[in-house]
Amino acid sequence: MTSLFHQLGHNYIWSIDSFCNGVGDGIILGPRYMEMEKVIALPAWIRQQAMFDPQFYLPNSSEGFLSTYPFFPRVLARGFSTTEWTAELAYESAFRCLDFQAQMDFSSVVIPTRFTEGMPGSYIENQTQLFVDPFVQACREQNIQKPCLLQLVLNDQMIKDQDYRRNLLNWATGIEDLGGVYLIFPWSSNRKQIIDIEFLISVMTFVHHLKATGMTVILGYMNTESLLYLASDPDAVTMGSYENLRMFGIRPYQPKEEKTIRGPNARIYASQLLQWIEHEYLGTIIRSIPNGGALFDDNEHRLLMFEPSYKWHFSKPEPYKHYFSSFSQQFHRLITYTGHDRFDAIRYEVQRAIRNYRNLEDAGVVFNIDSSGNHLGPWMTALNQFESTI
Amino acid sequence: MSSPAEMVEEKIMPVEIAVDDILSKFKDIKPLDKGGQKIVFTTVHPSFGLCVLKIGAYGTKQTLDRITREVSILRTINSEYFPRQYAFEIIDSQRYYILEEFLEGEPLNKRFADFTSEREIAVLGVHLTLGLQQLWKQNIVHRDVKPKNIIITKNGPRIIDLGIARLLDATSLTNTLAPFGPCTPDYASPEQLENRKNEIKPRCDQFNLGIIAGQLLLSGAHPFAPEVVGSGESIPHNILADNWAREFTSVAATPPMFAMIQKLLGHEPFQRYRKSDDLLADMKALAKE
Repeated sequence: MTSLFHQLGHNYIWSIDSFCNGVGDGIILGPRYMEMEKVIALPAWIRQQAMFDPQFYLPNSSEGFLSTYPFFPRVLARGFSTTEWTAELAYESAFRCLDFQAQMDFSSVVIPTRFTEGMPGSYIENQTQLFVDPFVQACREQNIQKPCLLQLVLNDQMIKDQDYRRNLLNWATGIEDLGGVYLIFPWSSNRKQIIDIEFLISVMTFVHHLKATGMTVILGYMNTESLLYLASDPDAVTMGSYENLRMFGIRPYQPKEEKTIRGPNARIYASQLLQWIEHEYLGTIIRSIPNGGALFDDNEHRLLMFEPSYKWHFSKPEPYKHYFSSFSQQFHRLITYTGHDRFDAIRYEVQRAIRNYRNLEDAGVVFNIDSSGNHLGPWMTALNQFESTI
Repeated sequence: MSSPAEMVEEKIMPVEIAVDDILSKFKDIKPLDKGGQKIVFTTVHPSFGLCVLKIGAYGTKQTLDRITREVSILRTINSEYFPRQYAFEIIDSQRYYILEEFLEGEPLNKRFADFTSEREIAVLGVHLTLGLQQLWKQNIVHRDVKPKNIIITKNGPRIIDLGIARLLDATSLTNTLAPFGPCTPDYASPEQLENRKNEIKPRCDQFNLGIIAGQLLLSGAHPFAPEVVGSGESIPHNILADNWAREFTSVAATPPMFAMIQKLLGHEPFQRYRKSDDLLADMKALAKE
């Protein structure tokens, strides 16, 4: 049965609150936004349902709370460079990182990865040398019995190239010590939804092949496309509050730029549109079509946001807590189906969203690109094409 | 008679090794085989009895290091599934000899007719998997598991020509700019034939086992042979095209046996068994039926 995890980041307390209220099946912690002491202080029952992503994406990063973890490469080596990252340091880092994960009694242990751009020919060799071999060795020596997950951050070029994808599959599935993989796909678009059909099919195909080997597959940093990916039957997908937890980018791990970054517009999740809608459209939607408000699932958070006096801002918790609850219900409805029934169930959700967008358009509502339903056609196409290949 | 692929293998691996000085150390010498960069004899040793004497040549220190490591591993595993190693010596920085146990028996390619039921095939599969697992756990790939390299003795199957032959073949093939990696093409996995060096892992040996299992179900006919599948130019061509006999007419294959062979013959390594224990479990289940 597929699970739904909270991807934690800035304001992680919203996700933990939601999880404590019974929304979601687990959480994924990370050091960038949560210092080590805070992780240690979490109740044991939460830690036991959590995974810990060591976030070694940029091993030389000093952003956020990464430096509070003594095994982080920059901390351990007092600065990180591949030429000075000796086998001893790699092993020491791996040993301590795994020891921490084991001590915390997380549900699984994660072998981290380094963020890589393009399609380097040495990718597998580098990841093996830097992380996989030292972690596997440390795992064996510590006799860790928890499932060991290999994290892979795969950009769209890597995943779309058939040969590259095949090489990754042959490599990852050949490491017998692994219980599964924790996949992250960096966001390569300036759009709010994925419309690249080839990318969507490639991800689902990759997951399908991994699952066929018996590996556990967890998809991290997911936006609403995770509902589409349910067609490939992953073991877990994630949901997150801010966009950087739903669209992976390396920027939070890079030194901050001087200029101020403008916050995004406040948005609310409409399960029946499969989209986050900018709040300015809310009143128009409710007035334009009968039952327009029903496009947004009803819960305690919706009640608050639908008050005329509600002050919308992207940093307020209600839109995200509403999303967690609404998305979780939608997710759990879909996973009751298996095999081709699940394809049909997903297809129904997409068709319904297309229909709802059409009704709104007929009523004169024209969405801007970030709130539009332009992704739904590519999603439906990707779903149909993927189904025809399996 | 050799198949075209075997003939290619012989043709690209000429051997000229001086042996007289080494042979003079042993008694009752009889020639046994010649192939790769080695010549093989039998000899009678005062302590070990009838033995196999392999005399080979090596070109580089790296190759020698690898041979030494392989011999050392064979001694370490000291397995009933492989011939025992009694002596290994390097001669004048160019040649070596290995003295190992002589196995009384016949290669599997001469004993196909003995396997008349799925269960018998599975029992053989269990033994071969157990033997190969001992190599895989040491990160060694046999890369040349074929009926000729499986000796059926009265005490069960034994696997020969591992590692060392592979390494020597690798050197000779590289020198001859062969189009595929070191292997016997008729029994090679697609990644071996395509010379995808980084993917030559234990799952290559699984593919070899899949061919052998298929061959036993076909009373010796090769499951990728053009005359069996009805198309293709050659066995390696069909291996690369994932074109194999999906019906076994000689020995009826039950769905679990077929599913296992299908997994072993996965065109890509990721389509085969991820864990050798899972393969062993499937083999054992079939062996019980």
